[in-house]
Amino acid sequence: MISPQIELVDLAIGYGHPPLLEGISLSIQRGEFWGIVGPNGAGKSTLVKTILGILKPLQGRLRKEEALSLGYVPQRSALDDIFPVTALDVVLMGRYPARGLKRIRSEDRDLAHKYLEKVGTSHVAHKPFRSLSGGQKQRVLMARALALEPDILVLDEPMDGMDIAGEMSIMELILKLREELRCTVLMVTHSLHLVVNYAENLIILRPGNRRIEFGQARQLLTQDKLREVYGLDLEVRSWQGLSRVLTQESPATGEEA
Amino acid sequence: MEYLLHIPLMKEILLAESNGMTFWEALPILRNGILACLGVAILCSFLGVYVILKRIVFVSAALSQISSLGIAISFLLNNWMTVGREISLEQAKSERFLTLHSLWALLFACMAASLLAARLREHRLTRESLLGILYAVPAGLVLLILDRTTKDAHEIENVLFGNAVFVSTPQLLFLILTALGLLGLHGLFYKQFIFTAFDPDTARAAGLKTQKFNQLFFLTLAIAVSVSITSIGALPVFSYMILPAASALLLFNRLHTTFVVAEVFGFCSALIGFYVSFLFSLPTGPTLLASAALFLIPGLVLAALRGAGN
Repeated sequence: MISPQIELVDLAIGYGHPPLLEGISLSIQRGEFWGIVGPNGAGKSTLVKTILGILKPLQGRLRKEEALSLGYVPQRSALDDIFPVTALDVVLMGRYPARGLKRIRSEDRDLAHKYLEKVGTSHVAHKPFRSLSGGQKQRVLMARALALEPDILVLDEPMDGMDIAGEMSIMELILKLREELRCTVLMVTHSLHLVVNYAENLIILRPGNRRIEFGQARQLLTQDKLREVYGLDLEVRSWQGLSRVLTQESPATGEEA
Repeated sequence: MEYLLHIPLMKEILLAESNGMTFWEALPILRNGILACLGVAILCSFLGVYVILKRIVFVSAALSQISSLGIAISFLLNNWMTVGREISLEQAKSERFLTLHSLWALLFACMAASLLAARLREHRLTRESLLGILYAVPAGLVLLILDRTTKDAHEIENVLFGNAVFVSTPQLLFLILTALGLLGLHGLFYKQFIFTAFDPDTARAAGLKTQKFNQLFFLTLAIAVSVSITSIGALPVFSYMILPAASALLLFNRLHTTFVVAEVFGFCSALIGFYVSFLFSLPTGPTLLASAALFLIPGLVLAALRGAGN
C-alpha cells in the first residue's frame, strides 16, 4: 500500500480546551483533490492551519511524508495593503525559506517570473501588490505558493468575494496547475457548486459539532447532509454532466446556492 | 575639515552665529551630540518602516515610556545610594550615562518587548489594553519619581524630552556599536523579518520560525529605543521612529526604496534640526521633531494630488 502524504490520527485541534474539532483520522494520498467545506466558524481554516504546521495539534498525531513541501495560498484579505511590495516581491517571498541567510539569486527571479506567467499575471510583475484586483492578487499568491515548488497546494477560500466568472477562472487555473504539476490540492471553499464537481474528496465541518465527516464528494453532498450542515433546504442535481447545488424550490436553471 | 570653509554655501552655514559663537566654533562641543543624533536617526528611521508596516506605533511609544521609567528608577536608586556622599561631576556622569541608566533602560525595555512579542490569548485583556497599561503606568511613575528626585529633575527632563545635547564619547561609541550591530542583524535576517511581517501564517507554513523572528524583532526594537533614549532623549527617538518612515511610505511603492529614503530623511532631518536648534537657541528635542515632520510635506502633497486625481 502506498503511504499517504499526510496522515491525521485521532487529531484534536483548536486554540485551547475544549478543542474546536476532535477525533480527526484521515489520510491524504498524492495527487488527490480535497475540498473542505462548512459554514463560517466551523473550523475550516483552523484545520488547514494545523495541517500546514501553523497551529500545533492539541492532541493526536499528524504525520507528513519526509521533506514534504506545502505551498499555502492564504485568504488575500489577510494581507495588509500598507506594504509597499510589488507582485514580483510577493512571489519572491516564496523563495525566501529555500535561500535562508543567502541572497536571492537570478534563478529565483527566473522562477518567480515563470510562475507569474503560469498563473497569467506576468504583466503585473512590477506593479504594487496593493493596486491589483482581487483576482490578480489571488493569482500572485498562487504563484508565490508555486515558487516553493510544493508537493501539496493548500488554498484558503481562493474564490472569496469573486463573481461567477472570477470563480470559474480561478477554478480552471487550479485544475490546470494540478494537472501540470501533479500536486495534491487541499481547498477550503464556500463554493459548493465548484467543489462538488472538481474535488474528489470532501471534508465537511459543522459548527458546534466537534467531529468532521469526510468521503467522496458526490456521495457526501446529499440533500440531508446539506440541511444538517447549513440548515437550508439545498439540493444536488445533475445537469449536463455537472452537479449543481440548488435551493429546493428553484428550477434546474435557477438560482444557485 | 578646514576645507569645508572654502565651499561657498557651506561657509555661510558653518559661520552662522548664535549667542556670539559661530557653528564652526561650537562644533567641537556639539560634535558628539550631532553624531549621536545622526546614529539614532539612521537606526530608528530604518526600524520605523517596520514599526509602521507592522502597525505597532504604540509599541515603540510604550517602549519609550518604559525605558524612561528605567532611567528614572536608576536616578532614584542612585540618589538613595549616594545620600551623604560627595560624588564628583565626572564620576556621576560616567555612572549615569554609561552603565546604570543604560542598563536599567535596556532591562525594562527588553522585559516589555518580550511581553509584547508573546502571543496573547485575547479573552480578557487585549494587546491594545496591555499597550495602554505599559504606556500609562510608566508615564505616571516617571512623574512621581521626578517629584521625589528634585536634585536630578532637570537631568531626567533632559533625558525624557531630548535636551541632552552633550553626549560623552564612550556613550557615543556604545550607541554607534549598538546601531551597527542592530542594523547588521537586520541585514542578515532581512528576508525573514519581511516575510514574517507581511504574511506570518504563510511564512510559518513555509518553515520559518516566525515566533522567534518576531521576538527577535521586538528585542532589537527595545534595544534601539532604550539605547537611543539614554543618548538623545525620548521625544526625538519616538519622532525618528515614526516620521521619516511615514514620509518615505507616503512617497514610494518599493520596499527597498522606502528603507533607503527613510534613512536619508532621518539623516537630513537630524542635521537640519540640530543646526536650527543651535542657530535659534531652540530646545534640541522638539526642533529635531519639527525638522523630521517637515519631510512629511512632499508625501502629503502627493497624497492630496492623488486624491484630487481620483
